[in-house]
Amino acid sequence: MSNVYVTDIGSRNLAPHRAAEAGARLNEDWLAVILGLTIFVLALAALVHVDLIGWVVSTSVWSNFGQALGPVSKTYASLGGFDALLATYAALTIVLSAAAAALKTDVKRFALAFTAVFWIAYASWIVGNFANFAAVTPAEQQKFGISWSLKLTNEGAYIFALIVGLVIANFLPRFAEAIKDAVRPELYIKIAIVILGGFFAVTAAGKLSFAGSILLRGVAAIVEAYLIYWAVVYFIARKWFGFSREWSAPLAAGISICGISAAIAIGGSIRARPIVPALVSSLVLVFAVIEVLILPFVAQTWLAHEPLVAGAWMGLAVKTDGAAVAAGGITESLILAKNAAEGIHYQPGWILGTAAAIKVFIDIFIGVWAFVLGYIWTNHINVTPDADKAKLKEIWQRFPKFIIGFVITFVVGLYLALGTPADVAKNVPAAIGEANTFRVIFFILTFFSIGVLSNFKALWREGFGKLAAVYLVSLFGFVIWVGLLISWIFFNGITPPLAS
Amino acid sequence: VDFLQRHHATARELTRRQSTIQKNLEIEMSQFTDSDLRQELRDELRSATVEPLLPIEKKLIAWSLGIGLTLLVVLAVINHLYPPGS
Repeated sequence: MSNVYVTDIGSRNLAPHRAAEAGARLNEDWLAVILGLTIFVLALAALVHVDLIGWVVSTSVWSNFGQALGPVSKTYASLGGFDALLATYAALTIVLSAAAAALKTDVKRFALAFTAVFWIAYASWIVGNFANFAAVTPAEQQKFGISWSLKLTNEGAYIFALIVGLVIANFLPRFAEAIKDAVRPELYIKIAIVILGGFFAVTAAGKLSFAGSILLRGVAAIVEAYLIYWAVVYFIARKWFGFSREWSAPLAAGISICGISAAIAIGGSIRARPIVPALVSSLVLVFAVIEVLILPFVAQTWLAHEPLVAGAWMGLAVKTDGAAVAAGGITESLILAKNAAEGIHYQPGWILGTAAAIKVFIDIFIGVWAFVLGYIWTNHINVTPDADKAKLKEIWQRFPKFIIGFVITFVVGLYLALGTPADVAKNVPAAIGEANTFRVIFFILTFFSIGVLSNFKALWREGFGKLAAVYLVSLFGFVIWVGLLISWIFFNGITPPLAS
Repeated sequence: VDFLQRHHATARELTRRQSTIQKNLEIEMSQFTDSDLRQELRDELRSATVEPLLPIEKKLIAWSLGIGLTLLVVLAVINHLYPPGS
């Protein structure tokens, strides 16, 4: 076996950062927890009437560019839209550059690359919010003085960021290479998920038992992803496509569990060469992009009256945390808009929350499944010396730590909404709303980054077509449809509360 | 530094030239490794002999599916008996 490392392959696409970061004390998961919690805590200062992050930029659907941007809080209204954008850029550059330093990345290169990533991604977002793309209802069209609209909603603008990223990846590979230091979808989405915990808590606070029952249904997702998806995809890869065990186990994990992190965790646990999960991961990204571009619109067309089935489906079918949670966001936006056009106004947050909860539930057990497979592999398949056998502590080592941040913001958000005096509790949604504006920005960065990492040429590379074929057959022939069936069984007939 | 013109040394051109050469070398090496590696992996995927499913793998697949389907049925029944209120 050749001695190959993730960075060898990652230098071109997946993980350009890993080599230098191997010696860093903090990893992306812990940084996501720290940064997400910092934003969350700063936002909560609004509860004591100190608005620390109200200057963050927010974009509205626009027909006149002058009205597109603005600070999220009225406290900073005098700042104006462009200054709010500059302030947001400066704050994110400083904070994320500090994070890059903690990861032992070249800070100057990161800051320069992030500058490009931020401005291109946010410009795509602004374009996507143009009224002819985003306006949904006839009332909105009338308000903006337009006669037609693609009705993509404002969150549909994520697609714009994704497409611009794809164009860069596939037509401007040198530029993609130049900005690779700041192309970090995993870091961005993990920060977003930590913030999302607080947002979901506020959404759930009014309907706690309903939210609890949705969370309990997440158990079905765990069963499905680990016990059914993994086993079937592993069988397909081994029996139908003749892949070795070393390739089949990470491939099955990538397709069935949660993409990149699962492929890497399972690859490590069965002691596969690191290049194997790295290659699988590049495929995961490409297919995740295809799913994000298709599934939310399919859900809007056929599942508009089953909103939570659609949310759960995104969490189950779309691989990688970033793509799945973001697909949940787009789906929510599209479905709420379609229902609003019919006069049904659902409370926002439930479809996205369902998709995120399903994904987080699946993520929690990566370490356990990696240990189970590691135990079987090192004791029964490739019997290794005792020192290299799977150990229980690997469960914690492989546990995705950003989930701790999600749980903390969820619990704190729930306490603040339900356990504090009414005059404090009434300000909680607005405070967490400010943090949520950062969550939207991290979503935009995630979408753009996923696009930049998705080089479709990988699919056509001679020899790797067989890997793509397993993915294609498993994902579109099995995973998506079984995910839809299970989502339907557990979520059909359940609708989000109506907006008051 | 002794055999370099003073202005080169003071302008840190030596360091810059060396680092440029080193960077180019690293890029060439990494390209070599990458294309070699890709070729190796292509060959491996193309010509790999089929490893038959071991009994332990069959057991793993069967137990996973068995437990998974049973749990799904149990959860579906619970879901049916205790539907969430909207």
